[in-house]
Amino acid sequence: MTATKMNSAQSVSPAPTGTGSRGTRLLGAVAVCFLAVAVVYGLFISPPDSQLGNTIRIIYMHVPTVMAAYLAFLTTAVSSAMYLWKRTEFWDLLGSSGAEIGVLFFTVTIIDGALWGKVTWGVFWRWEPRLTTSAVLLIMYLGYLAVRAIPADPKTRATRCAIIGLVAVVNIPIVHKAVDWWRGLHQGKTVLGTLNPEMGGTQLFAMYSALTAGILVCVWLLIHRFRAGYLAERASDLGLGQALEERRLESSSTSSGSKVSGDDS
Amino acid sequence: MSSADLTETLCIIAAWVVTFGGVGAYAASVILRGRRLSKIVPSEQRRWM
Repeated sequence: MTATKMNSAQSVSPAPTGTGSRGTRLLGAVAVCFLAVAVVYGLFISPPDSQLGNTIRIIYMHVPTVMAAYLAFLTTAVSSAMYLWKRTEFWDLLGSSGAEIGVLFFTVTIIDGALWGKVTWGVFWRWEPRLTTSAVLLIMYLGYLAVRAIPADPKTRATRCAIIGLVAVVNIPIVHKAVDWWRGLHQGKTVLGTLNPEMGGTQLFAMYSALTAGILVCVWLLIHRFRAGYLAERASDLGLGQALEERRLESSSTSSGSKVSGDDS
Repeated sequence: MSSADLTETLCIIAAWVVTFGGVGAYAASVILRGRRLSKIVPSEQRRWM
């Protein structure tokens, strides 16, 4: 009996001490490999562009971060729709994870774009169509995170966020097509969305390496952020349970105390 | 090195530092938060796939 118990105890692997698992470690290792290739090719091997010069090295970061942001925002949109249908914690947590990571990547995209603008246009910011719609998109997802931070019943909060997640995603195609629909300063499609990319050779290789790395890092972050959110919910449940138990013990001891004092009188 | 070249170099370095620094700092904060919360949550509630 004891041996059986010991065998069963040995067969159960110890619980993870964080949000990592074998899958995330493998994914992280592959992402780091692609990042290393992107750094070497993006900064050292790839030649300056005939039109953009060395500023193409900013584009190697700008394009992958925006694609990672779109992926995260689309995850939020799908999760929002699924939450409104299924009403489960899984979809709510995945949606909020996507929004947070999307805001991170999109903020980095806008900063990188501003740095590129400073070199190319001479200014960090212009209120032209692509930049203006991008600012609106970022503000909408900041609104999502702000609504999430408002203290409310978890189901009410999740429903509010799901609605915002579905409304905000409509802005993504507008941002993406802004360069086609309106005349602006921002350059048109260079690699993605065109059958004849203006890049080639090591430039294209550097871009695709950085793009793959960006997508892998985004997925890796999504998994870790989802698990951290799940742990936060369990810790919150635990804290609430303990508080209720303490309150119950406190009230029972108070009532027994009053009974004793009642007996004395 | 001209002023324009210096601005260009600084902007390229800043873009890469902001990208790696921003995403790296966020990743570190998420990992540390997960480790901190794992100490509170019972082991049977933190089994990943």
